[in-house]
Amino acid sequence: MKLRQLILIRVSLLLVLMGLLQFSYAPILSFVFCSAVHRVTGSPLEIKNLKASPFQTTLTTESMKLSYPKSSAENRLVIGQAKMELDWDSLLHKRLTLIQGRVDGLRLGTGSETGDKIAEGFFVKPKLVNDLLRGTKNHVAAGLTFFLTRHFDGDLEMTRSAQEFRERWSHAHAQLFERGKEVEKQIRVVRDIVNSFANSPLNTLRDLPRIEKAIKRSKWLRSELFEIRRRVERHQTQLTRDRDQFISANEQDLARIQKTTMVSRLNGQALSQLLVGRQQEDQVAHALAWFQWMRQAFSGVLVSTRPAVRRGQTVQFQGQPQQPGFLVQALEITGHAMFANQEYPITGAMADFTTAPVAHGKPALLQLEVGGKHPLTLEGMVDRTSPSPHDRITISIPSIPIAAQDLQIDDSVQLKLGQSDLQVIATIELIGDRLSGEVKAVQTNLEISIAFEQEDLLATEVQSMINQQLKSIGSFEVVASLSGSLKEPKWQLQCDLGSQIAESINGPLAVHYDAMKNELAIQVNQESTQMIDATANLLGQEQKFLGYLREKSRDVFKLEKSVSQLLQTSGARFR
Amino acid sequence: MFLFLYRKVTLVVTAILGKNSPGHVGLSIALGMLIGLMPTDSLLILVFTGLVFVTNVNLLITMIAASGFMGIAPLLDPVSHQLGHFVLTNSVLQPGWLWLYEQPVIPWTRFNNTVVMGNLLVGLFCFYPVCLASKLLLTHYGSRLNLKSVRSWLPGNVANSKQAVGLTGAEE
Repeated sequence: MKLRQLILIRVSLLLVLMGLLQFSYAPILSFVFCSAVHRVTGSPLEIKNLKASPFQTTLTTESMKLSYPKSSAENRLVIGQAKMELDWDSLLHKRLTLIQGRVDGLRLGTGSETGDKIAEGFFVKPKLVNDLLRGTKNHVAAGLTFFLTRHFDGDLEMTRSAQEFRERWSHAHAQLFERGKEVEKQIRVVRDIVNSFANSPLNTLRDLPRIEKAIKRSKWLRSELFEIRRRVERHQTQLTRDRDQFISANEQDLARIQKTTMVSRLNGQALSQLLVGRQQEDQVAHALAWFQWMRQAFSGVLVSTRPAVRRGQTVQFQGQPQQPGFLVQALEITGHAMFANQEYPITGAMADFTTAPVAHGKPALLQLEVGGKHPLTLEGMVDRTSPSPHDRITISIPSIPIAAQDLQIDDSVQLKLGQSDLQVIATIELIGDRLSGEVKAVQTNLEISIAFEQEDLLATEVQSMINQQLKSIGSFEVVASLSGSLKEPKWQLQCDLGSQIAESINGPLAVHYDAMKNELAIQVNQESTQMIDATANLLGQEQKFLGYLREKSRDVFKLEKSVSQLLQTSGARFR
Repeated sequence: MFLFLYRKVTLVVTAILGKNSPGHVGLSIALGMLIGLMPTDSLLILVFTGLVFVTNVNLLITMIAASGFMGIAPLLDPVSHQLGHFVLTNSVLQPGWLWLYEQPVIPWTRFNNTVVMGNLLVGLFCFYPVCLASKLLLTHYGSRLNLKSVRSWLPGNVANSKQAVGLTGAEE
């Protein structure tokens, strides 16, 4: 055999071997990829139809599935098509560097609901620091219903005194006048008897009973007049006392009205808790759940990513630069994500994703834009370049429509919130195990009104005043400040909605309260004046009546004199 | 047509078997040793395999030798690790190793692994002795155990055929 033939055949065999390498390259690379991703994310990766060649740096796949670590039947993400360009120089230096890539048909949470999975696996309910509300709904309004149903005039001293005055004098005075009339009637009777003797001569036997009657009536008249006069004098004393009491009651009531303050005020902070606490709690919990997922997903990055050496030991030379064995410099992502049974288109990019972040010296960055009805932007940073892991996530949701809702803030008071738009910006940072950041939500195009269920509330007027004020609110801001750790997150709510509503309600109520106080003071003054006038009037009448009684006493005295003359003439004597 | 294919196959088999002189067989065994001692994830295996292909050594013997040494290589690991560690961590050689590591393709050889370096040194050190020993052994005992003896197992008419002589690589 000639040498030329031998070499030709050997070269042909070498080419066959290289061909075999070409065909086996893709499965080998697929294995390397799956191992690397499993090491980084802790999740098994399945790649179908990886097309790659040792003689070119571009590789493509038709399908990739990343399952959950504990349940390989459910997919964390599915990738439809991927095209990646590897850095040849890095490959020659035994490093896998993806310079640029594009992933199409990405599907997040297809095996199960991502949100549900997060909720089941990672949800840690954050503790609300200023949770003043639970189970104490009535404290929010601080007895608003009581205030609205309160009747001010029930406890007035003037009202009570006037009532007593009317009851007392309505009978006593009339009785005295009746007795005065009776006296006058009897005087006429006695006078008629005396006058009858003046016209006809006295017949002792015949007229004696009539004379006796005149004498008895005169005596009764005298004692009755005395008694009535005594009563009138007592009445005058009582009326003077009543007038003084009215003056005193007036002063007392005015002072009391002046002192009355509106202690029942709407608690703005607690109201905020009631209005937005639950909604914000959900948002915070969801954002934290994503954060926990992100940290768990990248937990592999925390441990050493240097592959285990089966034989021997790999020596690090002095001055050898630290470079990552696996690096994704830039990767574009397009696809869909499933959230709450709805599919959302997503686009985004990933950069500086590596198995050796310390060697790479840059944090991994993720940027996603979720389209659909409620578009949002998510920016994530996973920094493992230092011993203390540092993660940051920023979620921005430009607009979410919020449905109308009714909130019972007291036994009889209902707050009606119309449809509105919600904008959310959440920035959460985790350095080591220390959590910080805030979830800020701005609700705009808001229409708020208040409704009172009870009809006897002083409400109709107040309601219109409050609703007028509530119209001016329009928007509000909620900020949940986060603290604590990822395992025990805490958050504090700061919201101006409660204070705005409280101001809108407390303001008109205070105005109304003042108006009611003024009205009541005027009413008390009027009633006081009326009662004092009534007292004076009664005193005048009593004085006139006293004069009348004096005149009648003189008449009775004259009649007694006439009767005694008749007796002397008749010679009769009575015991 | 049949004869044409037959000739081509014969040519390929002859090319695989290569030369069967004691020197070539010794070289085949030494190269097989180098390949067998290397850990499987080192590019040096491919380098040495390529060397096998570009020389006219006996591929069959090389493969058998490589398989044999692959089996005993782990037994040598403690020694080769010590040797490789000594060489790789030697401060005088460090700049050279670093330069070498920064060259393209070289990192794939995993020469910075103590076992790879140790086995490479052991293999290179033993290359000529193994080659020489194999040649001497075959010179003395090869006449009894060579591929020509295969013909004795075949039926007479087949064994004496020109094709059988060609297949076993024996000269007429």
